[in-house]
Amino acid sequence: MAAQPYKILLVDDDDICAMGLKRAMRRLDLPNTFYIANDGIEALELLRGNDNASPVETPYLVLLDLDMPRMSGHEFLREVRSDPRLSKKVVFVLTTSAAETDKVSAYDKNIAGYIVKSDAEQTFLNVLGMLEHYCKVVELPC
Amino acid sequence: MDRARDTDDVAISGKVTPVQEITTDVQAGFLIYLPFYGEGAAPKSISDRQALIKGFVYSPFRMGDLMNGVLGESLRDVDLQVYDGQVVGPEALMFALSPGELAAEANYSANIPFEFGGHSWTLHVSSQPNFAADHSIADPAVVLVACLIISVLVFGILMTFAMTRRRAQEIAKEKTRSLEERTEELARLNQELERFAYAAPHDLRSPRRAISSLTGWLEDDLQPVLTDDSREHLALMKNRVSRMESLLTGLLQYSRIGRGDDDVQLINGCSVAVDVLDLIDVPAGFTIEVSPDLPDFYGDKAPVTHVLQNLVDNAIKHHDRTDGRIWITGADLGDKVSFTVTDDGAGIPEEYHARVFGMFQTLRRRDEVEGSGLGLAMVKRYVERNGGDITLDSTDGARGAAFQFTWIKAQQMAAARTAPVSQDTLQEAA
Repeated sequence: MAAQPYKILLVDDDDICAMGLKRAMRRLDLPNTFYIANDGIEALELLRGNDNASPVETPYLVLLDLDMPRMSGHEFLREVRSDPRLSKKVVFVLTTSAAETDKVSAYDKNIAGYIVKSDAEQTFLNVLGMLEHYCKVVELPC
Repeated sequence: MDRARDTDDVAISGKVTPVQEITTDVQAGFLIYLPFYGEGAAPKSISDRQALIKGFVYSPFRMGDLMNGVLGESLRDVDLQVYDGQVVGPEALMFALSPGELAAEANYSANIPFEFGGHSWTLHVSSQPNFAADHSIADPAVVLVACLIISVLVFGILMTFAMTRRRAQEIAKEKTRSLEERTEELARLNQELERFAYAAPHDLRSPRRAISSLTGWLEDDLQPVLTDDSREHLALMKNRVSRMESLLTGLLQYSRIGRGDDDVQLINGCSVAVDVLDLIDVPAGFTIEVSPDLPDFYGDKAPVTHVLQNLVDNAIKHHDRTDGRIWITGADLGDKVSFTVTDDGAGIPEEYHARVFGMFQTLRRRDEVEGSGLGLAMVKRYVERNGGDITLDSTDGARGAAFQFTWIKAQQMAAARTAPVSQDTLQEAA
């Protein structure tokens, strides 16, 4: 059975990040669907959906920024891990913060990886390249 | 003052002529001290009081004015003198109601010693000649009146002292409170400033990154239509944006200095120098000579390495030639060590010596020498947080500059666990 192409949910309040990711996808010619939420609350609404039906199709993985208005990445992770329907989801943190406390706290909440955004497109190209490989090798939860 | 501090009570000095005393109408006087202690504490023991003392409320008194205030014009028949201590004599005289009649023989006189404010005083009361003339000696009523007057006088003096003391205590309390408020305010502002210095570079990074990304995208997308001018502008823009990143990184590092815990270990001076050379990209034309007898000492290695690295970096970056020599030397000064980084560059004019350690200070345009202007500011902050100091030696007209810093050794016991470095390692490192 051919593997379902994975989807990406980007949770980030900075539009530039979304643009960067889109550009990188175009450049790599990746067909993956990708959703955007501007903060933790929007992301939770999107994932929980209405009447138990989320508009986000599985399998998906989450790219999560930490510093956001309303609900930060850390708070979002806490919510996700304590929600039985979402607790198994694969989350990568994609942030500008290289602080040790952020890293430790994020890994405490079972993230799949912690990526520090550095300059320009190269980060996004690297991230998408890594995700391509990851999803080829790793079975994502439904 | 010591008495006031140790007893937490009002203390009064002996006879003095206060420096506030004006030249005409010189009066003897005394000083009242009231201690105040910090942190709203009410210290119980003498040693606590000695430790917590913040200062004194002090008030000089002119004895003449004080007594005249107490007595008014009501006394004609009685003479009154106040002496410092228990011996009645001209040296100890604080106040006399009728000056110049000190030694006059009096029919009636009495010395009344009393203690006040931890100090002994003597009140000498005597009858004036006209007192004897006006009244019959045998008149018991006169004696009674005299006694009453004396009692009232003593009472009045003590009352005045007591009121003065209460007022002094109130002033002390008030001062202590406002001092505490100011200390709190200062601590709060300091904290805010540190938080700001820490948060600002973080927050500025995100827009900077956005500008950097957008510039890159513009450059990519417009490649076919860009003129040479626009291409140059974009290149300049990217350069400035990356300069901003290095400024922000520097600022963040600067604000982090002293935030971490010290990791005290035995530091081998030569191996620090070797570490530094590993961290630096030494250009082909440069020679760096490390003295083989750099001192070994206990301390936190990271900041020492950082300081040395910055100094050597600077010596290379600001050298006016593409070839140069840099020397790293050091000495053990007992409770501290010193390191010196000397170069044979153009030197630094003396008028700029103070300025080079300031934040964001550079002596050349950033287009000539790329730098945040924070290097030496950071060096200074590291050195000063350790308790050492840094000096620059560079004579006008002569080549070369030498930066020397001292570093206070850490307590040996903290590092006793660390195995000593063997002589072999030392030589290897050298």
